[in-house]
Amino acid sequence: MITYDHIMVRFGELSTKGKNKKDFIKTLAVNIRFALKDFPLLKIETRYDHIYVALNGTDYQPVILRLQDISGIHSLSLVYKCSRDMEEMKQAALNLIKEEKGQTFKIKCKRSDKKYPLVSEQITREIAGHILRSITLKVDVHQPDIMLSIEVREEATYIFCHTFLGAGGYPLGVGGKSMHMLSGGIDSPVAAFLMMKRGVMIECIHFASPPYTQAGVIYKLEDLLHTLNKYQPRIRLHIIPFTKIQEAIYDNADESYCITVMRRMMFRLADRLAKRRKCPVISSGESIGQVASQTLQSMHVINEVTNTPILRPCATMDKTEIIEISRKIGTYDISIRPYEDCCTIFTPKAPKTSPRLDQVLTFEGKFDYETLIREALQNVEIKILAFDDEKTEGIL
Amino acid sequence: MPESKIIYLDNAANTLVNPEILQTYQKVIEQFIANPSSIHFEGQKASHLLDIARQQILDCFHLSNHEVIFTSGATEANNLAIKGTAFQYANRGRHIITSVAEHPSVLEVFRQLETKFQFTVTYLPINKDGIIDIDDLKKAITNETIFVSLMAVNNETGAINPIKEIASILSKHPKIIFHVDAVQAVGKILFDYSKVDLITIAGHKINALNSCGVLLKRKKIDLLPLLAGGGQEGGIRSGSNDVAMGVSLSKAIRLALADVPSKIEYIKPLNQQIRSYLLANADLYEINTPNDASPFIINFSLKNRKASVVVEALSNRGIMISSTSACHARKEAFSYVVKAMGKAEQIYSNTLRVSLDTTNTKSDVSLFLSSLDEVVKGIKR
Repeated sequence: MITYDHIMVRFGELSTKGKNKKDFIKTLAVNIRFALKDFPLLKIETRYDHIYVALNGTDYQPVILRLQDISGIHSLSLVYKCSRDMEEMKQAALNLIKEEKGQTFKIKCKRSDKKYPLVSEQITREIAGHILRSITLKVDVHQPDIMLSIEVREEATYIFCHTFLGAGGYPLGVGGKSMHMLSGGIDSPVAAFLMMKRGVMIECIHFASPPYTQAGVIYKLEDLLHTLNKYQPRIRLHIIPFTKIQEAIYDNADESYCITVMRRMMFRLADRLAKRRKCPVISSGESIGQVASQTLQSMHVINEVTNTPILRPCATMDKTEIIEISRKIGTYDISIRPYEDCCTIFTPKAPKTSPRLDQVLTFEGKFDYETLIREALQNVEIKILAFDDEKTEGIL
Repeated sequence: MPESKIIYLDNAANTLVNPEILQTYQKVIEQFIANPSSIHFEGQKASHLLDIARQQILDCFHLSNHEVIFTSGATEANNLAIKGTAFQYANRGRHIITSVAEHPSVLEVFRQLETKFQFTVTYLPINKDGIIDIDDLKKAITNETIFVSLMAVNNETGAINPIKEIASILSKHPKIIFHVDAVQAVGKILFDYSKVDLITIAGHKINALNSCGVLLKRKKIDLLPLLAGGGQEGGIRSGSNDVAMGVSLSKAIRLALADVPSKIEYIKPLNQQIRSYLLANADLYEINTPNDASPFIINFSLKNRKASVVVEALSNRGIMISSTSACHARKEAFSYVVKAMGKAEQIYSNTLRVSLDTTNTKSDVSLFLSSLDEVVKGIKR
């Protein structure tokens, strides 16, 4: 029996990135190496248009599963590597196709080394002929049961029947860094994932209002971020003490405007922290119209506090679409654990869905929020959540 | 009692507590002071740890569609699985199936359901190898059948039921819920737990503390709780959680399931050593445990001596083995399991069970065999 010995990793959109391509591949290779560090036998070879993972006897399934979480990968194929000798290629193709279930097949050949003496069509004919003479399979070029692919490259030939879809997007890190607003609900972890998928690293900012919010929420945040650690191995979490600001808002603003003013304060804090942490953008899980503070009019008035771009990857998604992603990435069950967050305490009966900026400014003029913001930033609590954290101090 | 070391060969009744597991228990007792149902920080901290412990158990068994219910042990887990299902789904049918060789904590529950709650029970027979016959099971299933409970490994003989085949037959009957008492299987044989709906596990058989167990339940199955109250364990088993117990049991399961093949490889020669001696003295002994059974248990009978006398004489020499199983040794004078295998009265009335653990050594076994030889040849009856 013949066994597949490599995984061929095809790059995502980065194939179009001209001069930056080298950096993209390098970053992707680093990310892959980190993700696969628990598999000691693997060897990773980086080439110009693919990365190859040599299995060296490792079971391919868990490796593919890990690779499918890595952004910047378009697809993965389980390949058999052999020499470019026609007899060897014929034999390998036959042995591989024998292991497959089905009655019909098609061969797809790609010759990226144009100096190879045979053109793709000739290679296809030679190998198909050998298979047809040896076993009882039929050719079907339209709807084959088995698709056998052959890639003849300068260094070797790769033969494969199985291709798996990757996560797409860009390698994590090439897109820079975003200050991400993490509440602990369903949307914000999904937004974080979508940012990461696009190659952007995140740092998280969370607002805590003890005793209105519970300190135990930290376990929820830790579990969420540990789940996201499979996409970004280290995530920094900034916890902002928000109680004093929140109380001041409720002393000074009209009840219906409290949420609007609160969101403005949050974005002011996120903006300062983003600058301090060198994040050129802020991101959040907001979705158009989902709650009063997420109507377009509210976004306009809230956004007015900063020039920093605020990216909202979930903006145009329905709640059901967001939930679907959260289930897929494994954050849903954690997100639905019941906890109060800053946005759900003091909820006014009738929050403004189309707040007016002049009104907001009047309320904000009534108290010295600058001092409170500075104080909150001085007392920020930082946690770093990493992929290989020992979560239980050796107890288990 | 001599002062020399005790040779403990009754691990199917109770295993020695692993010091590492005891340490975990103590650490958690000291560091996690609150009731995990409390909403304050210490409560949340304890609840979080218990959640991680639950997840670890599921991961160890490679289960993604099950959940963990902590219980006071296997007897409670078996009661919960059987009565909980029977009462919950009685509207779908009132026929339930088990085998004659089950542990009393299964058999007696079926008898209760039969005599007090108007369920019809089929008790499948076992063959000479101590396991059920698949055809008997197929024949027993009717439109009324809602539940089947069969053990993975027999606690007296070590015989292994064909759980995989049983599961595949039952999968064609979506109404039937399949429960497996896996108490003697965890960490001792390899099998695919994911095909089973309800799985019973006991702590004290895998080097954890006594009085802790787990019922693994497929998420979509509802059980009628035996203990109603504050709604812990998803409402299925009320009663304040014992965090330290749950966490230490989770650790015991992790250690038990780590590298099962090499544990089996370690035990096999010890088992073989005993078997060879018994075979060489076939005039004195008859082996009841089939060849393909769990290597951790070997059950044999005395052809012309009394088992209780031999157990006592060995015990006086510091060697602990069992006659029948500890669970009913004080009640009955014979093994109903070995009887059900079709053996003669002298055989099923005089069974001995040696059960091994990876803490036992070759020299333990040698000393046991030489003592057994002396004792059996030295006593009159």
